[in-house]
Amino acid sequence: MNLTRRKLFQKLGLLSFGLFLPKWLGAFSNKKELPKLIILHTNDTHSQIDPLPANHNKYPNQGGIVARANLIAKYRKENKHVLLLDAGDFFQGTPYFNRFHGTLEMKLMSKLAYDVVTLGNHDFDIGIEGFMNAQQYANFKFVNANYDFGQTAMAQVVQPFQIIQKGHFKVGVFGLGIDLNGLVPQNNFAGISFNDPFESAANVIKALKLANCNLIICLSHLGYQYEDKTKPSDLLLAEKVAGIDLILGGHTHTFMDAPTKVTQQDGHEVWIHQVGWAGVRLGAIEVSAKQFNFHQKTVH
Amino acid sequence: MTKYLWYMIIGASLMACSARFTPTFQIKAHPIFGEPNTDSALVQILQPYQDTLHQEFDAIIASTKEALYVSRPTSNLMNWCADAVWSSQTANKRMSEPVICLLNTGGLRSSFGAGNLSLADFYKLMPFDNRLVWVHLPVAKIADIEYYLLKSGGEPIANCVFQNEKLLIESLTANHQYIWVLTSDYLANGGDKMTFFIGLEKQETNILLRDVFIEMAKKQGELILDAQPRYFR
Repeated sequence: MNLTRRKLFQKLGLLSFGLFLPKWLGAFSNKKELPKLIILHTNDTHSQIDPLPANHNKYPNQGGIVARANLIAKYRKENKHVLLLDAGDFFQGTPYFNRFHGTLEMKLMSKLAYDVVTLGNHDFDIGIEGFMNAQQYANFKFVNANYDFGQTAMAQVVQPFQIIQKGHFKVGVFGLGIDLNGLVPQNNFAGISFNDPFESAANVIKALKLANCNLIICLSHLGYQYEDKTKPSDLLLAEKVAGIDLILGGHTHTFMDAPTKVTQQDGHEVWIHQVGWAGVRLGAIEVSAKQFNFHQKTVH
Repeated sequence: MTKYLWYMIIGASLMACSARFTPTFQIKAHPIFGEPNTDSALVQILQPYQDTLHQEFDAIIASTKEALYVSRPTSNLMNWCADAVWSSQTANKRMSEPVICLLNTGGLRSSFGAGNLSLADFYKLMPFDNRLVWVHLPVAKIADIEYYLLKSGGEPIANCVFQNEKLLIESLTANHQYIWVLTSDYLANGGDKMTFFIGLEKQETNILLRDVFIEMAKKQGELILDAQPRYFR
């Protein structure tokens, strides 16, 4: 090897090593720092802005946007990295929605600094125009990967996924919605079509992996589980689609005593959680990294 | 030479891969209890809306001695709602064909605790602006309703009982070819997969179901309850 080639190899080797160095150092420092992320989540809050009444037969005096805000603020004060997510159906259920058509929900969720939300069937209860009017007051992101919004105005504001960097975590968040046919009057979602949620999920997960997300969250309004085992649900999603770490669900108003863990064929664990309805619970998930695994190609 | 080649290959291959880790999760659900309004900025946004709402919706319009709830297959609130619709439409009419009421359990969105009931409570029970419609249903299609009820596990019904997988309508005779079904425009258009209504003759009332409930509650003062089951497996 002549001197020039040797120098070239030296430079290339050092350059590639140098480019890798920050990640390499990061890996060591990460281990020491114990990466941590708090994910807070709600679903099916259904315009329940005040606490439930004192004579409520199941959850008297529970919930309320102010109490929720206080709890969220406490988490934010105690933790550096917090994500706040919602799995849909933030509209409909109290006179606040009938009277103010969703604008108050959007203003309050913005004040609580939600990061990403997906859409439930009731979020179409005032149609596309009503939704667009209300979302003017939202400063958070809307995600859905299995509705084709076509030429509707919603195509401009709802994206399949969002990627958010929170410390060591590059979080990919995507949304899945239930089939609106039969649930929502046709006129309210004219121009929007429904795609298979599992195929849509698989496609969006590919994109999130290509973008090097190290935590993939699905905000799902499919519902936790159905008697008809073939109907798309969070449990089926966890069983059938590879690559999701966490499914935060809604629609079935399921109060879960504990999260569900689904172990896929390759050993990957998917966690499912849902917190009932009316904002009487706040889901709180502490994510930590047990170990770092670098995917390396074998060099022959 | 070999040393630099290894640097380059290892460096390049590692660069191409992302830092992955095995995340672990600790997951819990916090109950949220009413707390004082400590977030002043939030309260500032909320207050004018709350004031308007309380002014317009807090009026007490009725009361109930017992808690009313919505629960399949049959419940006191499901019965009350179906009865309210049925009696509001049939009280002063003599119909040659049987009239029943069929609503949907999913459309009743709230329960009532014992005590006073405000206008807001009825908006929570029926938040949707669904209108009451009459649907002229061929007797032959009753089997579709029976199949639906069997699969769904129970919906609010009035002037009929579901027993042994059959819808028993007392006033139905062999001479009848049609019955009238009182329902919502949402269901009459096939909502909640009640596709058996699609394409049938309909008569609009332009009355909101919610208003039917509100007027009936005002009329009764203290809600008249019927907790007798109407759905037998």
